[in-house]
Formats: sequence, C-alpha cells, structure tokens
Amino acid sequence: MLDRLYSVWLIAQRDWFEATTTKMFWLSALLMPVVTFALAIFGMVAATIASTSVSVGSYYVIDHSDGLAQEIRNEILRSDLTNFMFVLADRDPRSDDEEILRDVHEATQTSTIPVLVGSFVEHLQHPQRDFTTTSGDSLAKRFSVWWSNNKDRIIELAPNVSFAQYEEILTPNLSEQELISLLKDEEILGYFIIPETFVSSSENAKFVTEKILKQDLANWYERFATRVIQNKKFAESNISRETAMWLLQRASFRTSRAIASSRDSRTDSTAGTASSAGEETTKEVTAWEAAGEFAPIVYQYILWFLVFIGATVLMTNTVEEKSTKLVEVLLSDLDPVELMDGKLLGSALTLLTVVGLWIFLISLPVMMGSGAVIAFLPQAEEFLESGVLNSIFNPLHVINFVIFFVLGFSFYGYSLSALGSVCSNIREAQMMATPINLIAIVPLILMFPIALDKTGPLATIMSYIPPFTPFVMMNVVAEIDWLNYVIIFTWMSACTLGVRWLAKQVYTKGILLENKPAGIKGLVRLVGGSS
Amino acid sequence: MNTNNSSHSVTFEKTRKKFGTLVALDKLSLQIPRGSVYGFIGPNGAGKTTAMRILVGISKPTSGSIKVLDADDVTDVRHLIGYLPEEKGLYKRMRVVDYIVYFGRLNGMRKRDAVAKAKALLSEFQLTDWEKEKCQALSKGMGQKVQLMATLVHDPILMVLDEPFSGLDPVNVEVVRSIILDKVKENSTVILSTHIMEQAESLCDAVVLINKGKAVLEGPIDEIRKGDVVSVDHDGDISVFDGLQGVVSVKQVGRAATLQVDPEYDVHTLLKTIFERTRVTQFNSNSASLHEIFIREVGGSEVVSQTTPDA
Repeated sequence: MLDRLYSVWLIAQRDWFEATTTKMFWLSALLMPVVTFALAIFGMVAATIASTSVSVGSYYVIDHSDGLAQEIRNEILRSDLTNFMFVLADRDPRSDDEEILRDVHEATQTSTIPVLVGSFVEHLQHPQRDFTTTSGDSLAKRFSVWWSNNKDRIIELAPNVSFAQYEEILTPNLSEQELISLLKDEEILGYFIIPETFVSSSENAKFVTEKILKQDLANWYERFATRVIQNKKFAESNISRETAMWLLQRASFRTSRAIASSRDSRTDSTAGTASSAGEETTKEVTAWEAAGEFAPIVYQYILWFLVFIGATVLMTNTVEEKSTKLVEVLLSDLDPVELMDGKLLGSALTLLTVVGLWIFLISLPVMMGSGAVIAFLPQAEEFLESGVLNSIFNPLHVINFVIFFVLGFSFYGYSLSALGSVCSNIREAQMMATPINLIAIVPLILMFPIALDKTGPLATIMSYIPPFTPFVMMNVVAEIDWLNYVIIFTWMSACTLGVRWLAKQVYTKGILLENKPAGIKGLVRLVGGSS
Repeated sequence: MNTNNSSHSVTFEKTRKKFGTLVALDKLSLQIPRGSVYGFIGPNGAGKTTAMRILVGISKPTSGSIKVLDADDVTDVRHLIGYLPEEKGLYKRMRVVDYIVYFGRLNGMRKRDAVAKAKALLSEFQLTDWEKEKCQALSKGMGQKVQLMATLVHDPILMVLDEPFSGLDPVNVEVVRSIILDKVKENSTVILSTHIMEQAESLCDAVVLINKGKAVLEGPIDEIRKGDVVSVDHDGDISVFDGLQGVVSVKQVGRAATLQVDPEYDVHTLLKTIFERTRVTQFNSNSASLHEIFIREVGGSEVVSQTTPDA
C-alpha cells in the first residue's frame, strides 16, 4: 500500500515540478492578480483624476417660458453658494487664505448659512444695485466680486460646485440650427428647450444631445428645474417649501446586520432587565460589506475556472503521453489507476499552487500593513477598513473551497483523463469532451439565480446533481444546514469514487488502443470489458 | 536480487489475447530459459508486442496464464523487470539525468542510489556531457540510449526490449548489443523482438517465430537452423525434384533451384539421386539462415494489418 502511495506521489511530484518550472506557468499564475491589482489601482486613480479634473461641458437653454431659465440659474447659484459656504464653515482658515475667505468663514460662525447665501445671491444677481451699507452688505458686495472672479479657486475649495462640471452658454438668441451645428462639432453637450407651459406640464420640454446614453447633465438640470417648479406650485398653494418637503419626505430603512450579543446581554435580556444597556445590536451595512456578500460567487467562478483548466490540461497530458508511448513505459512500472491518481494529484497541486500564489499576492498589501498601503494609495483605506477582506477569506468559504475543489477536480479530472485515454490526438479528445464542457457551463449560467435564492428549489436540486454540486455548494454554503452539507458531501464523494472506478475501466483498456475510433459506444464497450 | 529459483524466467501457458473479434495471441505456450537472450521474431502485427505487453503486465491475457520470475501475478515482480517499448518517448522538458532517476525511483530505488546509477550509465553510454541537458535536446539515437538507461537503471533481472535496435546507428547498435550480453553474463534474461534476422541470429540463444498470434517455430537457434539448404543449377525443370525423399520444399527460378532439406535426411544420398535425374552444372549446400527460415515460414502468409494495441 505504501509503495503504491509512493508511486502516486512520485508521479504527482514530477508533474507538479514540470508544470511549475515553466515560464508560462508563472506568467499565467501571476497575470490574474497583477491584472486585478492593476485594474483596481487604475480604477481608483482614474476616479481621483476624474473627480479633480473633470472637463467642463457646455449647454444652452432655449426658454419659451416667462423667465424660468433665469430662475433655474438662480437655483443653481444658490446651490453652489450653499455648497461653498458649508465647505468654508467646516474648514479652518489658513494663513495664506484670501482675506474675504477668512471674513466669510467668520460670518458662517455667527450667522446661518441660508441667510448668508440669500444676501450673496442678491448681490450677485444685482451687482449694480446700491445696497444699504451695513457691514453684512459690505461683506456680500466684496464676496460677490470675489466669487465672480475666482472660479478656479472656488473649484479648488469646493469641487462639487456646478461650474466645475457644467457651464451654460449665455449668448442670447442662438437658433436651433446653430445649436445643432455646435452639437455636431461637440462644442456643447446638449441644449434644453423650456416650453411656455413648463410649470403646468413638462410634456414639451426637451433635452437635445448627440450622446443619448450620457444623461448626467439632463438629470442634473432636471433636478434644479423641478425645484423651481415645485417652489412655484408651493407658493401658489400657500405652502412653504420646508412644509412641502416635510410632507413629501419618504420613509426609508437602512440595511443593517445584527451584531452577536455578549453572554451578559443575553442573560439580561432573558431576565427582562436593561437588555442592551446602550450596547449596539446592529450595524449598518456599507457598500463594501454588501460587495463582500458576492465572495461565494467569486469563489465559485475561480473553482469552475480551475477545475476546467486543470481537467483539460490533464486530458491533454494523457493524450500526449499516450501518443509518445511514454505511458507504456509508465504502465510497466505502475497500475493504470496509480498513474491516473498520480497525474490527478500533480495537477491538483499545480492548481493549488496557483491559488496559493493568488492568495499570497492579494494578501500582500495587508501583510505589508494597511498603513503602508493607504500611504501609497489613500483610496484603498475604505476598502481595507470595510472588512470585505474578512468576507473573502472567511474560513467557511476557504475550507469549503478546498473540499469541493478536491471533489470537483477529481470528478471532472477522472472523466477527462478517461476520455483522453481513448483518443489518439488532442483534436479528437476535445471533440469527445464537448458534452462534458457543455454540462459544466450550466452551473456558471445559473450562478446568479442561485445566489439570489440560496435555499430555493433550484439551488437544492442542483446541489444534488454531481456535475453541478461543487460549484453550487460554493454558492450556498453559508445558508445550508450541516446535516444537508454532510449528506451532499457524502453523496458527492460516493459519485466521485464511482467516476474513478468507471474512469479506471476506460483508462486501463483505452490507453493502449491505437487508432481505434473513439465514440460513446466504444466507451460503453470498454467499461463493459468486451474489448 | 535474483529471487526466482526456476530455470525459466518466463512461462507462457496457452496464453490467449483477444481484441474484440481479433485473436492477437492464440494459445501461446513457451518457456524462456533464465540467463538467456530470447528473441521474438515475426512479421508486423504477428502478436510479438502483445506477448511482451502481457509479459510486463501492461495487458492481461484473455485466457491461459503467464508466470514471470516464478510469480503468477506480474505486478508482484514489476520492479525486477525492465521494459523498453517499440516506440520510444521521453519527457521532453525533463533533464536527462532526472529522467533516468525518475524511472529508477518508480521501481523502488532510493534517490541517492538512482542518481549514482544514472550517472554510471551515462558514463557507460558516453553521454555524461548531456546529463543536465533537457531530453528535447537529444538526437533520436541519444534519446533511445536514454530510454534504454531508464530501463536498466534499477538493475532488472528480466529485460524486455521491443525492437531495441530500430533507429540506432551501427556504433550504437554495438553498444546496445554489448549491454545485452553483459546483462546475460550477470545471469539476467533478455527478451527482445527484432525484424533484423541477422541480429537475432547472432545475439539470441533461442527464438520464437510468431505469426498470426501463433508460435510457428520455437527453440534454440541451432535447433531451428538445423537442416540444410541445397542450391542446384541444372538443365531440367522443377519436376525433376518431384517425389524426392527428404525435400521439404523446392523453389526454382530459371535454372536455379533451392531445396529445403529435412534435417534428419542425408544430403549426400539426396544429391546422388538428383545427379541421376538431371545434368547438374553447379551445387552448394549450407545450413538455413534465420532469414531463410523466416521467409519460408511467413513469406507466403498474409501480413496482418490491424488497428488494435498490437504493433
């Protein structure tokens, strides 16, 4: 028995060594995490660049109403000023700040922002008007002059102001022909047409653009237009905006998860005394945590990828060794089943080496210390502190992955090895493997429906069908009870042993066949032992 | 190392192998003496490779039995057998020395011993300079030598070599011959198949001629070659030889006739009778070569072409 195991180990060791000492292995093993990292970093950097250097898109408004465009402009200005005031209020003045900024900051500490904004809007809308010279008016006048002449500085301090992204062309009376020409030349993003009856109905309102999928400008402008119209309607109904907004306020539930309570709090709870004593029992789910819920799908995809790459390589190796007659020498020293087991183990070790490399490279930033990573890439802070890595490296997923990788790879590895043994060349083997490959795509297609209902009938049925079991179990493991898990594991193990037995029958006879046309009937005959 | 006590290394006993409807080996019965070079000869598809595969345990007989090194189950004595198949493949990306060591270890050798033996073999085969090269760098002849080394590395006491000389240049043929003879001196048994009758004749102690799965002739070379071949140039036609006692077969091309004579029959008496029947211009008497015996036994038979495992 030990001799047999030693032979299996020698075969596995050789195959593993040969596979892992090629440039192609390292290239393909490193490619995935490197590309993933590169994409992640690129995404974060691109997002940062996009947020700091957005190119300004122009638009035009044709107004057939009674001055609604101007009111919308005022609303946008009000929004920008409010945004800017909040930034200044929260920001400690610096020594190199302009005097007006220090003064406005001071004003935000003594006056309310809406009042300041109201005053500034007045001055900005009517720069020539002679206001009474109170200290507030003096500040508003100085600020309105500064505001009109320091757009870049405003954007630097408050990147979310509207003119950081959009700019209205104020040239009067441009015709639609001229605007279409500007659109074609990509001089403007689009233009709005406000109909005469816009307040009562927006039926004839239009946004004309060449980029119909880029709706951010339309959505942004629509928001201010809606607010202006709502204000008009509230005024006509003698309802203040604040009242109206309070009436229209939507109810919302924030998705949270329960936090496991301590023994003491459970005791208290049972006793009916101050059960939680200020202790939080739930925690709001962040976007990263929600993303972590997709970890099983990632595992399932990786499992599928590894099983099929590995099993196909195994089949190819079998065909190659058969065609070079190496297998004949090996079979004079070993049983076919030892050879099959050894090659399967070698491939499995190779694939696990790949996974180990991936895990190492992905964990490297964490091992380096999150501080170092954040220093290098500040955008990663939210990701690293979100706990999403805990979801990915959850021991339940990792152990389940190893168990079903072994079973799944054995199931498909034995099947494809047996197919390879009856084929004379790679092409023939690929043709023979097509039905198996088609079957294997099914769990990939059903990955998302199963993820959305992990205890539903689809997931339950699929988890008991051996070719699908490993992949489905990766998806549903967190939701399945232990008894079911043990039953499915036992069933899958029995089926894998059954496949190994069948594969042995085919392999033992098939590996020595020469030029014998492979086919389903031929396989059945081989298993039946009639050859 | 030698564990068998019997005087025979291998005994086939009515061994039969069928592939579907095709009988690749038909009740083969023979005994291969220990410490001899034994040849399997026969046309392509005769059943030589099938017999060899059964002998090394790759294939199982459909019926009958085989005893190898006194074991009823070949797998029990695998580590005492060295097998070189007809078509020789190598792990191309493996280093030469590693390849030889690998097969040594598969046969139960410790790594250290396998490395030492591999290096000794490489030196013997004058391939020491290639020790660390990858197998893909080897020429065909070198590759075959490496294959042979992998067969020898664990010091087998039974070597089964399927067409060991095919593709080798004359120098390497001599190297392999001397290796085979050295193994026999060590009381190992070497079973080989070959198409080159001269080689079988000069190397083998005994042969079996297999045709269509059956043993047509079997025994020591001297026994098989016993019996003369008489060449006669004469003025008559082939009917001159009708009814001649002791003549097994006659062939005549033009005026030259070749007569296969029964080993038990006296050639002088035969020649005297021929002289009485026709005018002889020239005659010659020799022992039959293995080549002639092969042609005689197989020549008229249809060469089997098949798509089953037997090559």
